[in-house]
Amino acid sequence: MSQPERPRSALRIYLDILETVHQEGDTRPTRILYRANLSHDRLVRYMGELVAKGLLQEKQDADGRFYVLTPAGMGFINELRKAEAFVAGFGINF
Amino acid sequence: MILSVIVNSILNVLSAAVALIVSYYAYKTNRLIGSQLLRFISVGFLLLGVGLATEGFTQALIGFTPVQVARFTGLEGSVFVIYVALQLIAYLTFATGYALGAFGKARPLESAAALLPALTTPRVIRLLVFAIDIYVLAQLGIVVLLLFVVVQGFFVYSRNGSVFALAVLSGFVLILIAHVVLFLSVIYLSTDLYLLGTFVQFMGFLALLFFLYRSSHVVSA
Repeated sequence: MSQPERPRSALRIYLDILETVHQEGDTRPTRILYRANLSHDRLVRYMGELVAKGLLQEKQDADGRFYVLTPAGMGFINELRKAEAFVAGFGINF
Repeated sequence: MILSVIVNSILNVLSAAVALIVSYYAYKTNRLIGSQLLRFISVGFLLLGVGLATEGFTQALIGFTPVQVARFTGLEGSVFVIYVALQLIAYLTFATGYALGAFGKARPLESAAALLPALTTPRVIRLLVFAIDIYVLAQLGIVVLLLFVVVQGFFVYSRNGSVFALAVLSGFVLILIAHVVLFLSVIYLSTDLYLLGTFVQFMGFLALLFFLYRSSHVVSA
């Protein structure tokens, strides 16, 4: 019997956003919206939180806003990846 | 004889160190993601680590293993009751944590109650009637609880197929085998079996150490 899909946790959404920015480099909000599969409202909320925590840096050029990953953001991705591997050993998802 | 005590003590203290490291990682990860099962795992491994360290240091201090004490005095495990009680509570904690995961959002008491059918099968009751010694009884309880933990670990691995789940499952399977051997060692009062059980238990903790090493070396590409 397949299990019903659980809604993504805030941590999972953080990880999806940060990994998108990590993989794509300087990333526009629309690209993050598409890759992280978020509504516009949720994107604005989560991006604001990540910038406030110093994990992402917001920059501006002639074409508009874009985001870059900070060293703290990279460290947070690695911490979450390790936590994900650890909890997988006990059958926990986040 | 002294050599077996030294080897037993060293293996127990090393196993205790691994248990305490796993407990710390579970605590640290729980602070990041907040999971009920991780809280149980952290507390369980903490108790296990304290229990194993107690056994290791007690053996080193008095110069005898529990089986040797039982053979010479007839007081099976009397000096090791604290250690075995801590282990029993530790495995009960793991089993309750896994039961909580397996039985959804049931309350802890209801989840623990889900273990009762396994503990009250006629075969187990018959064994309990004969197992009058507290040490033997506790070892039997540990084996039953570990069996439940191993079954849950198998379900976890069959669901996610992760190498990390396999490492945890391997660790618990080895610890289960170790406790079956330890149970037999107190039944037959065999120091050799006791040493073998401690060694297999140490191998189980090595599997958990491998799991820790692999999971802490995962980095984003």
